[in-house]
Amino acid sequence: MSRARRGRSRRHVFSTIAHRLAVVAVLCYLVFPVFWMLVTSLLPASDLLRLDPDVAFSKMNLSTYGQLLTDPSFLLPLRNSALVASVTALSSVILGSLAAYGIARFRFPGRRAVMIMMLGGQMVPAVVLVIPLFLILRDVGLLDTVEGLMVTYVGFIMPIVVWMLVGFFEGVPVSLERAARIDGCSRIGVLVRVIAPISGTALVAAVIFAFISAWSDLFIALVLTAGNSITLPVEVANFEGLFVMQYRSAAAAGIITLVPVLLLAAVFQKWIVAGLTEGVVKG
Amino acid sequence: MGDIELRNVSKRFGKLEVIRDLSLQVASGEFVTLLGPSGCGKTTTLNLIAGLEDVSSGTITVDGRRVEDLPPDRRDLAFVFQDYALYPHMTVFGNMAFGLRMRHTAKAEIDVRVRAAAVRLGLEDVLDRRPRELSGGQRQRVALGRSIVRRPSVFLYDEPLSNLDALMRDQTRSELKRLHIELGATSIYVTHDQEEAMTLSDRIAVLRGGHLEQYGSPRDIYGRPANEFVAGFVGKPRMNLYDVEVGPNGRAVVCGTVWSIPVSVGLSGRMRLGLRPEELGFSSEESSGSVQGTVRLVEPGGGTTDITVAVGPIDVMVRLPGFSNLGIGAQGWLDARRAYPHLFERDGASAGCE
Repeated sequence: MSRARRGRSRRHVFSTIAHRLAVVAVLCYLVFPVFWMLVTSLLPASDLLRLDPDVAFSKMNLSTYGQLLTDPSFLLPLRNSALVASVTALSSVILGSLAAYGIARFRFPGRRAVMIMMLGGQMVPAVVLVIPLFLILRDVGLLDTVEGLMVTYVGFIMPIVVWMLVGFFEGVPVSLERAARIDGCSRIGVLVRVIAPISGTALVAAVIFAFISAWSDLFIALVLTAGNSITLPVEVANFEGLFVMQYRSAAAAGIITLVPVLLLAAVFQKWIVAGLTEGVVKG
Repeated sequence: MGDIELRNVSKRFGKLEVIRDLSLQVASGEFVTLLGPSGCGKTTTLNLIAGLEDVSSGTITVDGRRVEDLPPDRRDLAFVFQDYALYPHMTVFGNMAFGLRMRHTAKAEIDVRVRAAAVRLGLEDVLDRRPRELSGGQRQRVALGRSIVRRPSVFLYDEPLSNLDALMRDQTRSELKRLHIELGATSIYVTHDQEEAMTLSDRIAVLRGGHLEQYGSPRDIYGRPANEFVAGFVGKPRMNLYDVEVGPNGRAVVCGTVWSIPVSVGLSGRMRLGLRPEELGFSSEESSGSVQGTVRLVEPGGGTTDITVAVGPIDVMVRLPGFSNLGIGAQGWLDARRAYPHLFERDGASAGCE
């Protein structure tokens, strides 16, 4: 091996090591808080809130989870969150996909304006909108209701879903729809029999995105809900009392909030990445 | 079955008129090609016949029945797309059966027809595969199969060969012709490739700018082009076209040269003359009516050799049989004894013999 090549391969080894170290550093930064939250939820606070925390495996137990998952005042926000996030995700994607299909396929005046307005809306910080939203929901009697929260979330999330799906639908060749029309489909038939089946991956990705967005929101829910309709993130925040901080319960509730998100990401990761449209046309 | 008539059809997209007052008749069982450069409106014409676009004015009839207001599936026609347009989520069988299923054909009947089509097209081993697992040629055959199982009275083809490689294209072209002879269904075929048009068609419609330039058999289009555009578009290599001065003696003199070619009497003045490269000769000996020239370029093609000969200020393309030993700079005599001279009216823009 020549000296130059050895030099290059040594550089290659160094850059690989540096790269791996950077990945490990970033992973620690991201994962350690979750790990510590898990540990906190499993151990008595008295063992952790010391200068020399005692992380003993033998002392770990799931008692806090048991308490939380049988406590009606915790189950209510859990149920609310599940309901709000599911309905929000499905509504955003059903409405958003129809809108996106229309925008992708038909050339109408104001098409660009609609797209830009939807994007523009995303640029307004939630902080600016939340007080007007509070007043509007109060006036229509939807304050502190799950319905009010759903409507609000759909308003925030659907535009992003539309943007995601317009790009996808524009990539579906028009000839596919024309072939289906000639084969005997109506316009709606084309949507149901051809476009929907090949859009599976994109729609699933959009549903998961919408679900996670609604599920993990704290700020809007904090302002718009109080008693009956509070969601999990709000409940987690509530563990921080005026005089006491229930670290262990807060950590367990945090983990419970995190689990669905992780599960969704793990289960559907392949789905989201796989390109079903491969082979639609020449290629 | 399958008489098609377009009468005074126009199509506008906003202010842009893509098809201008197009009238065209296609007899039952005929294979007609719409030929023209890109943007000439040939695909739009096909879409209008299929019902994928609505006509702006004019009528379209199939077997004497007005169809321009019918949806595509009620016009009894099949469409083969340039990009195949196979349904990616269905198997080959599913793709071919889809049109029949939409028409509520009995299951057993679907099975029989799809399998028969698959055998005819050599697809019986891939019926369970998805389109993405097939080669380009196989995909195009699935697209063909999807059309033939429905037994429509009209087939519409939109540049179906343009995505295939050269070898596959020739093979599929022959297959298409054989299929047409077997099925006998009316076919309308869109292409910008004059060779495809010549080999496949009973009649060719040459379009330019949404306007029909000429409609006739391949022999007519090649032998009697109606105008300079058709003459230049059909034939390979391209026809040589020059400004000429036609004298009362019935001879056309190519502007800027001493080359004169006998043409039919009764015409005179400044015109355009077309000479097909394959009808010209180039030899080392002078003959009557020949003119001296210098070889500027030699392009061997195997069975033939194309040479470019400079005669004064003009270049003349000549197609010679076999391999030629001529080199660049060789002198020789160009003769047009075997050539049929095509004369066209000069349009206002051409320069003439100034």
